[in-house]
Amino acid sequence: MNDDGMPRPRHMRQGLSLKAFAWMLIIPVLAFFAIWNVVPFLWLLGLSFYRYYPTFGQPPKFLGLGNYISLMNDPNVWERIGTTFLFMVSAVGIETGLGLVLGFVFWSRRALWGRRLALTLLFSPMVLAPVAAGTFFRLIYDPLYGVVPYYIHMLFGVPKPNLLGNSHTAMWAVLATDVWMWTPFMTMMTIAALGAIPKSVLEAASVDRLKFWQRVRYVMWPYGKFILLLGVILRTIDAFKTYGLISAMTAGGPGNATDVLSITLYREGFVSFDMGTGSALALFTLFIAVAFTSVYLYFLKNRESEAVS
Amino acid sequence: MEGVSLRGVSKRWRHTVGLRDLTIDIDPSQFVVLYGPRGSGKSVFCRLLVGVDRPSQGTIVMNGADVTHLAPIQRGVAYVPQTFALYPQFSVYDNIAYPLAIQGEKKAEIRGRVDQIALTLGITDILAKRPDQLSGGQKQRVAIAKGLVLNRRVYVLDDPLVGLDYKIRERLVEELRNLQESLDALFVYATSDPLEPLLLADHVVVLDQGRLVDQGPPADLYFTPNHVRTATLGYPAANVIAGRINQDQDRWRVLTPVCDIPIEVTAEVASDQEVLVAVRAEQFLLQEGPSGAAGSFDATVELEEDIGSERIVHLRANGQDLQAGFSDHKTALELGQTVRVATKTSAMRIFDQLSGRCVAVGAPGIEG
Repeated sequence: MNDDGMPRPRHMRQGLSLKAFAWMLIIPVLAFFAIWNVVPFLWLLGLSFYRYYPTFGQPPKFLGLGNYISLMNDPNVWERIGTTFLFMVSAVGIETGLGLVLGFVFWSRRALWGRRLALTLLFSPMVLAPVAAGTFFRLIYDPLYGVVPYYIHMLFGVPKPNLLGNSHTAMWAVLATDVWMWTPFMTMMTIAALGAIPKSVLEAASVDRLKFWQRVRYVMWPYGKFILLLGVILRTIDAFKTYGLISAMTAGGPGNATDVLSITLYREGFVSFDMGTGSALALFTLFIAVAFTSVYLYFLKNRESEAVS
Repeated sequence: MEGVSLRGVSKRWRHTVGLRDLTIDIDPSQFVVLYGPRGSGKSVFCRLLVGVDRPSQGTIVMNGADVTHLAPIQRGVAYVPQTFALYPQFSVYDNIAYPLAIQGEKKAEIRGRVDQIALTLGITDILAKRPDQLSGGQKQRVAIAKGLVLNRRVYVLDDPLVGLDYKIRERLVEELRNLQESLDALFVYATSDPLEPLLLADHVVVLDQGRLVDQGPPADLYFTPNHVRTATLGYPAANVIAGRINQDQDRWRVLTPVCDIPIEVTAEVASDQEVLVAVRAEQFLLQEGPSGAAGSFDATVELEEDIGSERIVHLRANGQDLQAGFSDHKTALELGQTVRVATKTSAMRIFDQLSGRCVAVGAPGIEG
């Protein structure tokens, strides 16, 4: 008991200072973070300065920035980045567009018949493992048994195309699958963003006779933009590092038509076992991902400062 | 027909009822106040008039046209919602001016009208600010300005003054009254404040649990309420005493813990029926000397509240708390003092406890 007769918290009774108690509480998390995040990251950073093939049985050789320099000078790497960005921008663009349309429909038509069932079905692709979805779609696109080539054949009278085997169509076939998987996410974000608009302001807009685009611009956008942008940024980061879907469908092929950075990374590290180049590429990729994350943090910060003023 | 008519209008949701079978004719160009407690259906009434909600049943006719299924855009009703809704990106000025600009008013005309309404509501100095820089009271006044600046035939204001400080309320009540007169439009104004209906209304509509229970000019309602809810109008609200009907041959009385009251029955009642008796504070008089007249009783002075022009004496009589005016008696009373109180029984109204409807009025006692 202390002066005012209140019982002391247990940690104080046992002679632990508040500071020590606080540390005791965070240490497990810090330890976990250190072991699974910091150490591998430093390991990766270190590896990126060496030439090291675990399969050759030779000791690692220090190269300094050699791996980075050869990456920068490798036209293939820039092509991969181009492919990655093409995939990322198209995927996020199409998914956002479709998501907005679907989100609007589901949000504005509460009484739509079968709305709940439709929403449940719509969201189901999102919970699938990307590798499973990729395998699925490889079958769907299969030139012999696939459904899609069959209908293309039936509708346009052309021979059944090998969509994934053709370097002109492979990227779009993969993209279509990604759109199928992730449009529901953007639909959900759109519904959430629209749900964030105060009902009273929407009603005021209808009483004030605002036209649809005026409502979008002055009512929906100011209130919904943060959630919508959050969705776009999350989706961008995710699309940037897509691996499972492409690995299961084309593994980067045919040729290098769908060879995005994450696929290249995997191949350098775990097929060629070129640890040094792989690590350097991984850091490079991480750097780009951090850039996206800071865009997100920038918007989040803006939101906080707006809320304060 | 000019004005607004509701015919058998109900509003139901899955688990709740907002309005029950409401029928009313509202004349144009008057100040109508909807009065009732929280959840009585005032806001629902307003929202149905504006068109942001549609009735589950019944029809709404406005200036001769059936508007039941029309969107707010097509109705031409100005609206000040209960939760002030401002456009976050706009300055206060633009918030007020935007609806006018949409209507295609000229810039100079808009400026004049916005400045005018801003002056009325005392928000001239904040016109350049944005909604997130305003206090709650300022936002509220901007929302009122935004609703009133429009030139419409019908204005619906859903409890616009709630929570504003006393001085602003007092001024705005007067301004609203003037505004209604100069616009010569129909104002429908919802409030749960017991004084605003008396200050503002040409016509008061009393709602209780989604039902229209009483309506009329404020003075009529104040003195002859037809529903126990109406008796809560004014300050102080009427004293409501629970009692029981008693029949003794031809003579009907209400027995209450305070006193027995002779009544004249105006509706079907039964002996032993539970009722509520409403007595206005000013209907209690201090009685000099002993007398056993009807409606007189002894009470203890608990508290004396002096509000300048008036005084309210809190009494306790046989376990019942009462508020009395004693306007004829100017001398100070001592706390704890026992006084003899006489009541103008003829001014009492007796309500059925269950339905709240007026079933009897007080009969003159042996008053004089």
